[in-house]
Amino acid sequence: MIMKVKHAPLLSVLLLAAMSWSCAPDALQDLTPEDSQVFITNYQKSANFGNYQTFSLADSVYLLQNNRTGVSTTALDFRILGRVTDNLTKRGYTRILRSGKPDLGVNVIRISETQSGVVANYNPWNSYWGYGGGGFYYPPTYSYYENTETYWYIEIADLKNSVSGQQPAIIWNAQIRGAGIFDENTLASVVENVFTQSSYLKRN
Amino acid sequence: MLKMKRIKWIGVLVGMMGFAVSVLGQQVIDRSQLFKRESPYERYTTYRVSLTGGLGLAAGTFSGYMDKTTLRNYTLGLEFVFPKNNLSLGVSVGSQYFQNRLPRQVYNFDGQDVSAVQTRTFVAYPLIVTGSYHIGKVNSLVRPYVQAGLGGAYAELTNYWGTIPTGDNGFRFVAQAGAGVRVLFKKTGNVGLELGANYQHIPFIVESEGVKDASTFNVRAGLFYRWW
Repeated sequence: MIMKVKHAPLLSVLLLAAMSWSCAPDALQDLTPEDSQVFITNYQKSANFGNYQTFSLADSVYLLQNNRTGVSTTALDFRILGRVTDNLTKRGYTRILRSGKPDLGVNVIRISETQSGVVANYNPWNSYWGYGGGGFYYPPTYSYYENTETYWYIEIADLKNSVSGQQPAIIWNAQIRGAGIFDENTLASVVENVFTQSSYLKRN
Repeated sequence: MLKMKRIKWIGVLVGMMGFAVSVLGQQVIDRSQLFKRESPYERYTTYRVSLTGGLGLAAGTFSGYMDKTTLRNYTLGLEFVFPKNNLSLGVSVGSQYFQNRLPRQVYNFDGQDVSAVQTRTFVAYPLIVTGSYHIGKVNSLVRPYVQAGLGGAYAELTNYWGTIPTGDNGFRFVAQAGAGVRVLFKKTGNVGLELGANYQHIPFIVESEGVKDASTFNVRAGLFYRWW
């Protein structure tokens, strides 16, 4: 690149300005735990929720942790199972034992997903700054990030119409994600939210 | 001793002659003519740097996604100002940040309902080559101008559902068109006020948000400095 030396400092200033402005403000820093909560429900559109009468619910919460599975029976787990039962009962369904051939099978699962990756850091104010002697063309540094999210997952399987030997169809599922969802005091309301937004989920 | 003195005198004489020759070699300008010469801005290609900031407004399909304006909207420009043809050519870097927090609501999709507080953001760092045409001579106190620019930008549209990010980012083409005015604080000064508005078009498709372009209308004010 042919350029008069005279302009080099100015172009450097332009470059520096571009780089220092590249620090986007943190859009979520003022987000309250309550506002961070996301409730996602999916349903099978062909399902007629009025066709079912009974449901069964395991007496423990399943754990799904990066392809490992297990069961959990903490006080909080019993509490969420109780809340799910209450909500389904309010919608007209009757809880029976698994052996009683229920129409619906309900599972409550706590999922932990770890996502990881490598991100490039173009921040000029890192430790590499001192080495380059003020040069702007040093390579970006890389940092490894790992992010684990744990959330509630509730699913309802259609046992009434299932064919033996096949996985029963899931006709409804819900994800409860965000901060404060494992708080004893707010658990009742976060569980209720996924039922509130699923007004179709009722016997009558 | 006498010989030494003579040599000294010869040296002084040669020195004086040299000085006389160099003075005669220079162009002699009458004092009365001195202040009638064109200013350097009228003789040479000169430089101008400007820093402006101001209001940004979403336009086009982008306005459906972002209905909040922003004041985090800056541009730093460096230009070569040509003396005779009222043109200038330069580069500018910009920084734009939009954010809009939507209260909790349930979004209905096909077989899916999502209840969330959305934090919609958009950020762009355009790097533009600009060309301007000015009305009025280079030393006019008030110089309106029209400007067009082409370049590229790093752009990122992120819609946070709670804390779950969705969206897209990448390098995109940028086209700008605008107009403004530059006002020198002093007739022969270096510093002045710059006011301008432009329309900036960035093709940016995020189907889930119904966004096809991240176009913005910008109104900015700031200062410029010129030198030669």
